[in-house]
Amino acid sequence: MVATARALDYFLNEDTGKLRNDSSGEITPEVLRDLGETLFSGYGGLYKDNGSETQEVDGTEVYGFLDTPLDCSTDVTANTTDKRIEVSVDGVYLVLASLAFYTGATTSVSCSICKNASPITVPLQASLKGVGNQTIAHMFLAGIAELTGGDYVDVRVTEEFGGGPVTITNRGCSLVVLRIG
Amino acid sequence: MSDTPRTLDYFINEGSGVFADNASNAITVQNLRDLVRTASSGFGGIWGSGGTLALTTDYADYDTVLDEDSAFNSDDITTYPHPGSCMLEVSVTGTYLVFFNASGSLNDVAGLYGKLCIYEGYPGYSDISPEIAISPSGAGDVATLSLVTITSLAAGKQVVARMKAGASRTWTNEFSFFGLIRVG
Repeated sequence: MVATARALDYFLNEDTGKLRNDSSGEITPEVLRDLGETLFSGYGGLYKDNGSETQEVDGTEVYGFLDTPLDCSTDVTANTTDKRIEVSVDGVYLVLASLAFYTGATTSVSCSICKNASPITVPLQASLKGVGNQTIAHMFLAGIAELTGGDYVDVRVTEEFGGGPVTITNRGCSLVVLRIG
Repeated sequence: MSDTPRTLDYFINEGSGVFADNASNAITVQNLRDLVRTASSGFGGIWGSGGTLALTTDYADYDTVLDEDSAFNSDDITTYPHPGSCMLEVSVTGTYLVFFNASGSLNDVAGLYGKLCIYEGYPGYSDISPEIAISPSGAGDVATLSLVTITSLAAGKQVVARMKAGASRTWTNEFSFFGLIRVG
């Protein structure tokens, strides 16, 4: 695998217009592997280790614990400020999220993966038990979204009781995207 | 797709050295699909149904219960189901999506923690995923722990799922799967 991403032009010989390694003039298994990965790989992610960070949720909010980048390809950006993943290449993407959190109050919370603030997965809902119990809600979300350059995906959390803000506490999470078409 | 996996050499004609089907010296739609699959895919996994694992308050490899090999492993991923080391080894440097899902129960209430690591040789491990904590609510209550991450792996690296509990407990596995795919 090449250390830096190739542009597709790299794989076309300037003189002949045929598929080949432009610098060495030869096709090698590595060239073909690089071509396949250049064509198909777009990936990135955000995560947060298990900790004690808290977030106040009133209505629907961006899931705020995802503030550390995972490895990203050159066409995917992990936005640690807005806690979202942005893509610059049109395509179909697999989006996965693993979330763990608890709240001290008895409440019900749902989470979904969103594209440009609109859900692409059905919100998964968890009931959380009372003060002192600290039962953790753990959700695994998976969706497929067609994204165009400039689109973003994030996780949104909703307090379902409608009784005012609740505080959730992080117990570890990750959000990853992978271009699949 | 072809019934049998190709090697990348297949797509380079031995005589001309150009990109072509090595058998027919032609390029077909089927060739292109096979090339993409061969060039961009690397995948493997191990899994297990049932079994128990003794957990302590220190992280240990999630092993012994991962005793089945996935039916779909590419030739550049080596899998070690139990009685092997329950690790996955890559032979191609790249970026990988690594995932783990364990469903089971503890014999008493306790926190349950999991993470994904590179095994660096005894006794070293490097974390490649966040630690996720969950709280099975009591003896025999089935809970699920899911981990997913993206990480760079150099050829020869081995990855492993690890788990611990908030107190010494016995984990009864319902179903677990540990896998990876190369994404870049």
